[in-house]
Amino acid sequence: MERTTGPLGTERTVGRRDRSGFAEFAQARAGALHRAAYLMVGDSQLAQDLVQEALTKTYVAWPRLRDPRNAEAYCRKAITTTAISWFRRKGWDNERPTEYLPEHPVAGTTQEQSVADRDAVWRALKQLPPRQRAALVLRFYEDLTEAQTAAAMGCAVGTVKSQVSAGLKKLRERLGHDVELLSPDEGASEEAMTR
Amino acid sequence: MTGQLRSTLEHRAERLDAWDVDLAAVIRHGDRRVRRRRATFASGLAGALVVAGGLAAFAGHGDRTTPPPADENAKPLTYAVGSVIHTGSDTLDVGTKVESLVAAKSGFFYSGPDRTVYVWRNGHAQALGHLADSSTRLIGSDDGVNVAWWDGKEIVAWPGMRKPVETFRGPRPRYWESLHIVQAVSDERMWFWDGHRTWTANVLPSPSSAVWPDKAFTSAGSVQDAAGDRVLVRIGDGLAVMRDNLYPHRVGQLSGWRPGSDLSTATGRVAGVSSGDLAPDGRHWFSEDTGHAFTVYDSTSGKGEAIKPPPGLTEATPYQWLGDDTIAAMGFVHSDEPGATVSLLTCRVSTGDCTVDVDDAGTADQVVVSDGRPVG
Repeated sequence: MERTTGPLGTERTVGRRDRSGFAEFAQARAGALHRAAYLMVGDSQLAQDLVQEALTKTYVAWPRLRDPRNAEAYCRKAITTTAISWFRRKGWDNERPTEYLPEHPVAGTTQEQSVADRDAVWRALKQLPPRQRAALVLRFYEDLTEAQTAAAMGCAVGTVKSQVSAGLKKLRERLGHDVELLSPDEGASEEAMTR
Repeated sequence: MTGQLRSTLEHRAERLDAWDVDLAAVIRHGDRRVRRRRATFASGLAGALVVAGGLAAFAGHGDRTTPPPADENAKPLTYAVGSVIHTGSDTLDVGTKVESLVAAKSGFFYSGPDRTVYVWRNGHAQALGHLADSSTRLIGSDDGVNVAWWDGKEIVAWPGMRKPVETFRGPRPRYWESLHIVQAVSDERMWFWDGHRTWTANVLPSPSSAVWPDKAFTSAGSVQDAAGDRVLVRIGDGLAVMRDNLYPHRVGQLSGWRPGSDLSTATGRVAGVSSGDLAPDGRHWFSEDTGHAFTVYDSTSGKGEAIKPPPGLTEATPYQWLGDDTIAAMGFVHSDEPGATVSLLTCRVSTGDCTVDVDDAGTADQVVVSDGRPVG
């Protein structure tokens, strides 16, 4: 019988699946991925589930991803597509308690209006269909290009344009057209995008 | 100037509480998927190697000239394909596609595609309940007396106990934790996780309604397996075997007894291993991690002994103890060829090698081995 020697950590952790490399990636990026996932689903615990699941998929795919940038893109796609599929299959909006974190404005200040606006935007955002919400988060929080957003959503660039456009339209319908959803630069970019 | 949309998203993200990813769980579940996937893609090449390398190996003889002494108490190799359960040389058709399977003394416990749990005994199937979700497993004790599962609301410990999980308060367990609700079942006790901490309950000699918190274990999956009074537990980034200290067996031992496992009794800690299965006599355990070669560890010293796959196969993946010296394993060849079949092996700790009991049992997504885990 062959005997293994010494503590088992060393040679085994760098064996066929590079666990230390994956662990380094996961620990470095889990927080950022969690924040993006939370913005997509509006529920912290569900976002953790999503990231946990997406990282598991990334771990399985790790040997062929090699470059951490590929891993990030792969994981982001896993989060986005898993979130959309969970919402479709399981109706998480109905099953799970909806997390609502009210803000606490200082009465009588401009901050009060700002907080109220953000609250309204957040509520309206949470009412969007999952694909529209994901597209908006990827474009306006993650700052992904249209092509990167399309890759993360597993769809065509044209679909990204239509999802962003439809999402913004619904937000404006709910919030009123006076709310400046986008900065002038973003607005110009959006117009160019939807032409 | 920042638009309201970006401002809102950034503000919400900043206010989110920090979260530590459960990396051990990610790797553990990833390893399980890799095992299945690897087996699924194990090869057509296997067939070629068998032909070229000698059919004798797959006939269960290989180049062995002296068979190892029998493990007299070993259970027969049991598995299912479709609705047919194979056990030893016998087969029986239960009429329902089997998705997970445990062979117990009182019959075969299995779940169907709709997650209904059945027991097959005396030629008939009896529905007992259902599994919580598609990833929930059946867990059987080594002595074949108890089988337990979580149905989403209650833990069911067959034959005697049906325990409402009163400790589930607040958020329901996370979806990946559902794998660990029932953590381990020994001949006498069961450990379970309620989303917050680990509990134990008596299952023999008489089912108890009392549960005991085991404060030593604070995360899902801390208790990997139990056999007799030994428990395989996760400590840090490794596994070790300890003696349980949950409650005294005799009244005389009550003096000075403090509830909860004492991690200081742990022996032979092996680093870098996240999941394992303890032998019925508690003397050895094997790692279930994909990244590790098939190795059996001594419970006291932690020393590892490599188990060799049979000739013609490049890897043996253990999944269940059949006896104190005998382990059931899946055997395959590394390859990217799709549609390959799995061979089922019996491996011996005393000899360090394996023989093929069932060649071409089916593809990896067809063969349901009797470790209680759902296929796929």
